[in-house]
Amino acid sequence: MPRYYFDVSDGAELFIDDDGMDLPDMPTAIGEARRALADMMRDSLRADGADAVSIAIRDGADGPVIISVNLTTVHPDNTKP
Amino acid sequence: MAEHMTGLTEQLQTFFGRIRLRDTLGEEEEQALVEAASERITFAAGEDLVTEGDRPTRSILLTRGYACRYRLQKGGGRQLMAIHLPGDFVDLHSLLIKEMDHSVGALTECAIITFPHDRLVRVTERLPHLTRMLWLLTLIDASCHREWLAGMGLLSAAQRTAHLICEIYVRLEVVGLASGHKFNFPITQAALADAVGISSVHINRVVQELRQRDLISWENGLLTIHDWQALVATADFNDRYLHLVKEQR
Repeated sequence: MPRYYFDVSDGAELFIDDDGMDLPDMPTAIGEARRALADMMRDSLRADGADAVSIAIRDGADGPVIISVNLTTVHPDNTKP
Repeated sequence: MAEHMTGLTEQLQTFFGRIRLRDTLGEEEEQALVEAASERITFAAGEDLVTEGDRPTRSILLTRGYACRYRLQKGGGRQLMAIHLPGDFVDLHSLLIKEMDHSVGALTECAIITFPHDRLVRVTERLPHLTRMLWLLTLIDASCHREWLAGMGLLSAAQRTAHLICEIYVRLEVVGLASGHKFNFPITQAALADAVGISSVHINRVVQELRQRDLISWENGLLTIHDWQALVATADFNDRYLHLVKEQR
């Protein structure tokens, strides 16, 4: 099984994954990353943390694939900029 | 036979220690437990000690290694509900609940002692105080579940991880299996992720974060807590739920 590395970027911090995980294929790796993002976003929202979290998946053959969640707050009825 | 008994008595000392933390344990009570003990069995990491749906005829007490209480999802997901340590009567539950609603698995190589249910029933008929002590142990299991459940709702993944580390250290330390804020913790990162209830990708980042904050290090199965007070503060950990007070019960 190929090894996939998941580098996580949230707000100011970047965590480079030195260990990686052995997974059958890139779609499985993307599934793992999406699940991780859901957990991270939950914590981030509750702790007033970063508005953007992304995971870059690296492997030897293909990639990187970047998956990200961006949280935006808008006031549609507010005319002020 | 006498040799068998001596060996059992030795291996049950950590368990007796866990009772003695909370109350006295009389000689007759100790002897009754030794006599109720039956076989010694070892399990390899990954094996089930008891499986969901089983109807065990014996309860098991962990004497070596780390075990977990867990549920599996049809899709393959796993959630741990507790981590068990040497001296824990992990499967006292099956004496009364009969059909297992969860599994108990070995996270590392494990050694156990079995207690046939009929012998335990006789112990409860004869020794009311010891019976209350066994009851107390299952209540403490439930208390740990409450703590984990509250953590799932209230704490972040990093806090839950810190909390679990505090819990395991305290539970090892109180029976002399750890000291100096370090302990052997040779479980996989995937198992830790299943305990905290997050993905393997996320646990990787969480452990790295705790390392970078210089709270812990975790190398070659040895977990070292560098700043106990800070780890406790991060986790909002209070050992009250472990009921470590010795009093008459």
